[in-house]
Amino acid sequence: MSNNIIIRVKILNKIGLHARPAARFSETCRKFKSKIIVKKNGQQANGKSLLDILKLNVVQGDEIEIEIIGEDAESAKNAILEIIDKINNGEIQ
Amino acid sequence: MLQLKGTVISPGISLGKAFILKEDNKASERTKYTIEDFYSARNVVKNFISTLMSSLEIQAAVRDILDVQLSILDDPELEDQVKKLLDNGVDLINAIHTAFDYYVNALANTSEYLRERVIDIRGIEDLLIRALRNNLVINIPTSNEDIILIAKELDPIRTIMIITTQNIKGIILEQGGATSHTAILLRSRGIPAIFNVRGIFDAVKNNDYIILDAYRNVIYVNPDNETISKYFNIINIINNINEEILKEIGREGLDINYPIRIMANVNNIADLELALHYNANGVGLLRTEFLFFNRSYPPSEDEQFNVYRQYFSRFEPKTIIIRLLDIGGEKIPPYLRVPSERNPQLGLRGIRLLLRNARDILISQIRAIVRAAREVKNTIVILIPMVSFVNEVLEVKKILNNIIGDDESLVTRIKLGAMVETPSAVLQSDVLAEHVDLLSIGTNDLTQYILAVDRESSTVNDMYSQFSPAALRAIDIVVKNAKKIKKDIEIDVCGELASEPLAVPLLIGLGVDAISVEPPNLPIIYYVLKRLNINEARELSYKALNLSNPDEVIELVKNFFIKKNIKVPQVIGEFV
Repeated sequence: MSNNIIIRVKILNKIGLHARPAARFSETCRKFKSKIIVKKNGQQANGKSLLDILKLNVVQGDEIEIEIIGEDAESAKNAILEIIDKINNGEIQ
Repeated sequence: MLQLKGTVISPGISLGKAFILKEDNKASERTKYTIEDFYSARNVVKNFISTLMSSLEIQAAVRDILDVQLSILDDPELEDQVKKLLDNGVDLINAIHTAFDYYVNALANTSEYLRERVIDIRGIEDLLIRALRNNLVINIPTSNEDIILIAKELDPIRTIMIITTQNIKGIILEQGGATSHTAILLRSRGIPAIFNVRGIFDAVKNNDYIILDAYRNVIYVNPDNETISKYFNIINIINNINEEILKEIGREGLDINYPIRIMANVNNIADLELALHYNANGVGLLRTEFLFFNRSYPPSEDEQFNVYRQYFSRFEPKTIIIRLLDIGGEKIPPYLRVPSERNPQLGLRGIRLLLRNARDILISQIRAIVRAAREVKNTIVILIPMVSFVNEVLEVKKILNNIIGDDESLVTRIKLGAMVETPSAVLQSDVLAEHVDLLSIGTNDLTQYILAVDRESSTVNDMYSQFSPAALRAIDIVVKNAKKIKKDIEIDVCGELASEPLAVPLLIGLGVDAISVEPPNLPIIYYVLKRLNINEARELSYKALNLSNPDEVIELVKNFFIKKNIKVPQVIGEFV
């Protein structure tokens, strides 16, 4: 059974989705089988690819859409929300 | 004896022989590599980085850098691209280059921040190729001689390899970014470094003797004996102080709480990073001239806005004192109309020039600063240069108030300051104080005008000294007059005197609120500050005010330092 989940989040930390926050984000995505697509302003990136995410240049205040497609989409969603929370709290710098 | 300069990235002094790190030849190879070779190279690099991480007494900053690089290594998109290229008949080395090129080009077109991360990504690419060729380790001469390493660019991993080599005492790069991870690494390890040294490869060959003075931003190539012995004399003092400071306050910066605030002079992004590294209390003088020189038309308001915002936010939420364009004298950009004058030092310069011949620039600059201030949380002080009439302050204030309007949140966060660098500003400091929130005493020009001595003059420049009792009296007058009228007015000192260790007790004693220091000098100023108490400083400055000439002032402070066992380089003027 394949799920398709879309979430929208705002990135609030100072450096945005760069450096360690981006690395932790992509590593989290890599733990799941689901395809994970990150979208910003019509551009999209493979959530599992740090380089792809950097290319999006997500900065403080940007809103991104994350589409998760696959069997483990639900647990991927939870893990992603958790990591975004940590990034936004400044726990990952 | 050849001298070169660049951008000071990590302050310090080192002496040694030049070793030039050669770029690898990236020509493609005939050897047939498969995707399996890619995977095994990846594993080799992974192990290599992990070993590096465990072998170093590693700081958080370094760990973070390696951490991100490990993540790049495992990137699935990168792997995909390499695979596809291999399937299409491209050889592995070229496939790796092409895949990395794709991302590097994409990132280079985004932000300044990402552009400087490109070198990290190139570093991984470089390591992968080296791993394929069984050539991972850099061969650095392992003699006992001290070495100054010279390269075009350096990625963080190679930097780590290099700085763990005992005999590498300093780094010179032809390029290199001030906010790059390489810069952060060198600063945090206290390895002297100067970047952006143009012409270094023409000037230096292997085994040349080099003095790297990353305090004063000078590189000497094959210096004469006199210069070498001068440096031999001071290098021990400097290094001992640095050791002591590092012991006291750690390598990661400082956490201080002194009677006066220690701020930093900032000319460019490298200064800002250094000020941040040393945990300065704010930017005491952000010079904006760098935005206006070397171009045929002035920067637009938008361009200025972007730069100011970048500087402000990097130092959030600390105070930034930003000086309006201060041009005059000899160097004038072509778009500014200034007739040649018989005595430019007393002519159209600083705020005079802005108000009379460049009002459009003045207004666009203030607008850009206010816009940038709106986006950040810092307190921003707009500093007016070369004030000699109270009216000049009132005119700028009117322009500023018009631009701010009735935006309540900005009224409290944007302040106005006047430079005190003319005798008239000293004598009218009480009147000026009524109209501004801050007075910043610029000792370089003030000394010249008080003493009526041109420091460039070959006949009288020896008479120029910022330790002149007359110049110190000017500071005393400003503090007393201004505070009488407005108790909470802030009085700062910028200019060379503020970066001079011997001046620290005098300035504290005279009752200034803050000093603004050249970033490489921050540690030595902290070092002196930690050893002073306010009452001794007051007594000392009172004595200094009543001496006859500069030499006596210097002698007074030197003896005081000896008594207190405060060790600073005793080469006054040599080491500002």
